[in-house]
Amino acid sequence: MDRFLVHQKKAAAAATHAIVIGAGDYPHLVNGSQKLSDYHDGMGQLSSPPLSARAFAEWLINSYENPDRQLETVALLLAENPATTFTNPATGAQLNPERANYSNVAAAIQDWARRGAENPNNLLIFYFCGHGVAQGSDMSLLTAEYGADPLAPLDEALDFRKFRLAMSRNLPNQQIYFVDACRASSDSLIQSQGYAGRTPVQVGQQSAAETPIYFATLSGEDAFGKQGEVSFFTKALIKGLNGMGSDNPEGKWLVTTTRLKEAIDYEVKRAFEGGVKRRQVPPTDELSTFVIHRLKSQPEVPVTVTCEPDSHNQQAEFSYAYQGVEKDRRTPANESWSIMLPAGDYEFRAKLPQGIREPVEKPVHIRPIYRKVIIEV
Amino acid sequence: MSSGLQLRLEKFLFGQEVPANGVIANIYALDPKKHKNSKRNVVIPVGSGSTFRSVEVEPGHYLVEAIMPSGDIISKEAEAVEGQWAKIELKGEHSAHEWHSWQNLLGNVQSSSGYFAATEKVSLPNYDVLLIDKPRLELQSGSARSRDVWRVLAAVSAQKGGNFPSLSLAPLQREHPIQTDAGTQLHSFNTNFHGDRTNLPRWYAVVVTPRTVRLSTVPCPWFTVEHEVNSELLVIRNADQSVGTSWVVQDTTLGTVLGYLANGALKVALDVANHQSALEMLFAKYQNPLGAAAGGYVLIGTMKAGEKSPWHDWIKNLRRDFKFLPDGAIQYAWLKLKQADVRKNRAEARNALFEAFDRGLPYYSLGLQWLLDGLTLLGEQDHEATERLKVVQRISWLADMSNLFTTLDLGR
Repeated sequence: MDRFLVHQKKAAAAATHAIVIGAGDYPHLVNGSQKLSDYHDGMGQLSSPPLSARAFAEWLINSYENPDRQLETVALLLAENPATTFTNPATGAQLNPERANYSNVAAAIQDWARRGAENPNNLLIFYFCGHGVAQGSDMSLLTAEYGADPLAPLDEALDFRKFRLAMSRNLPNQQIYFVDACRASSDSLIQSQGYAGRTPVQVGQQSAAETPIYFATLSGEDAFGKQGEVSFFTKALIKGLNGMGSDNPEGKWLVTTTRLKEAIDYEVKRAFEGGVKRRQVPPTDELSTFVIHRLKSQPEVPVTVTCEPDSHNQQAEFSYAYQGVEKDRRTPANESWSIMLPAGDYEFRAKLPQGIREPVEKPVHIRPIYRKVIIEV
Repeated sequence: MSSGLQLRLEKFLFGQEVPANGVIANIYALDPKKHKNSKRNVVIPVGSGSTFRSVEVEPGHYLVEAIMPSGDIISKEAEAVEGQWAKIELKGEHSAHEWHSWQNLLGNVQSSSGYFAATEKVSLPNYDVLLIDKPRLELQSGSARSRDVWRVLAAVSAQKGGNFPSLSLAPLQREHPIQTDAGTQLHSFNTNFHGDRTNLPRWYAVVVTPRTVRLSTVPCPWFTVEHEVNSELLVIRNADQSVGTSWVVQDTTLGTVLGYLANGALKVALDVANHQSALEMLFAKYQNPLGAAAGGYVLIGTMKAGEKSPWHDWIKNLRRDFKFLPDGAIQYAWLKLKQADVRKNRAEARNALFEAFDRGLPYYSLGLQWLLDGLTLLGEQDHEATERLKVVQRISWLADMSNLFTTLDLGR
């Protein structure tokens, strides 16, 4: 198996190939293990990206299902301190992911792109979580050794705009990009006179591929969530893929590019309403619709249960039942009750000092993207 | 007998209604055996009026879901009974102020509870907003405009202190802002233009903050069938002295389309814009060049590679007939770049990109990005393209790409 791969299983015909990169250990940024770069711009060590990248790679291996383009390879590169093994959840194999420095990232991207180009109907998935610096629509994704060379700090960065543009003129015809990076605004890009990093792929001679991009759209390190947790965007992405971003127009639950965007947008909006700041994000320059994933089971749907007026939540003991059997309850609290439920029909109730209250709809039908259950008091 | 649902989304929009091209909705049949009765991508009215969209469905139990440009989702169950039309009114969240309502619908400012929680401890004075309504030649509209626009902006951006005499800044004449509170201020613009629509005047708003001077393309004049409508600029003054700006065009045909476009939901924008042939009308009548440009971005952004379609001629005409509009030329270049590989249509795309460059700053941020990407695709060996690319890239670094209309932070 290629040194960057953590998963390989030969697909019958067209296949899906993924590359997953998580950079959290930056030796030349603040609190790093080596000499601090003059170009640190206040950026430091991140605990979330390796965890997020692992979570996404595990999701791909465990859950990804695309009958027309089965998962054939997953390449995983991490920068974490200390480096730890990755256990392939399908095979149990213990693997040592290569470090996410530029030379490895570039080589792994070239291998990934070559595999993808073998069949125009293949699907390529690119995922990056780590530091990013941006000016306008230029964006550098910083690999682990960023700042190592004081003369050329951005040589340890991927010029994402040019990279994606070049890939869009190479096979295969469909490629998806997930970029989970805090788009820190940096003068480094301006000082570098337009140099935003290297790109390991040149513009090819193919017609334009469909290359939807999903940027994390929350600002600053808040977007990475709590220390030692999977990032907010990656959680939203996995929720979307687990069904929040699915629909069943023909009966089977499918996650499409557009539905996934609606699901991620909704999650981002919830965080935004919760006080997390939005960041500047380039408008998506294309978003064609195609199927990413077919669910093997019922979709998981976020549900919010609340009294109306919501001031009664602090006295309400919420519960829900499925097919007449109570499944869960929550003791009174100031806020509404947020839970994830498989799609289906449920009964909800609120036990209040003035008695039991239920929603008008009985049962309440739960399906993606989201359902708010209102219990009038 | 027929049966169905009559749908609308109730949301206060300062007394206005978007009766046709409102928001996107899905109608899901809840009986698993009848999932084929579901209907997706239905466009329903939004606003504070009384227009319902009638959708014929088989009798049964349904879940209606509306997805707003802001990304907010509102759903409600409904029963369709044989021979009857059930009226279903979904209710949108309230905005903090009536004058926030359009901006809230489009996702530019939070709803009431979130907004007040975020701003309760903040009270900042208004930022000055100035207008460039008689820009110097390079910044004006029209075929006489030279490529020097880029250099003017680059030179201006190198100045400090928010004093830009070379831009002919003028204080706003009318009452400004028209509304304000502890954290936001609203400005309204209308050029009252009655001249030749193939050569529109170009205005810029300049927002002066403690941290930056922000130059923003005013999306005016913007015409509906009847008249020119107002474009409103919301300035958000954040506690950390950073600034947010966003535009709403009070166009009851295309207003929400712009919201979906700004949030990257291009497919939804296309579905909404196509409803009742609004998009076709936009290009057929040519009454609203800036609106037609928005339609062009939606069409090209969602087109498949190699696709051939009658609307391709619309883009050709937009480029040809509106020489003041850089965006039409950029869109034509990308039409060519998407129709075939770069080598095959290179000459046509290159000519269109150079023409767009000479026409000046694109009205839309997406145009700035496509101009940059298009020039990049021409390759480093093309020295004329590289020369333009460097200039465009330098300007693009100043851009706040989250704004639909080109917005530059000049005083960083």
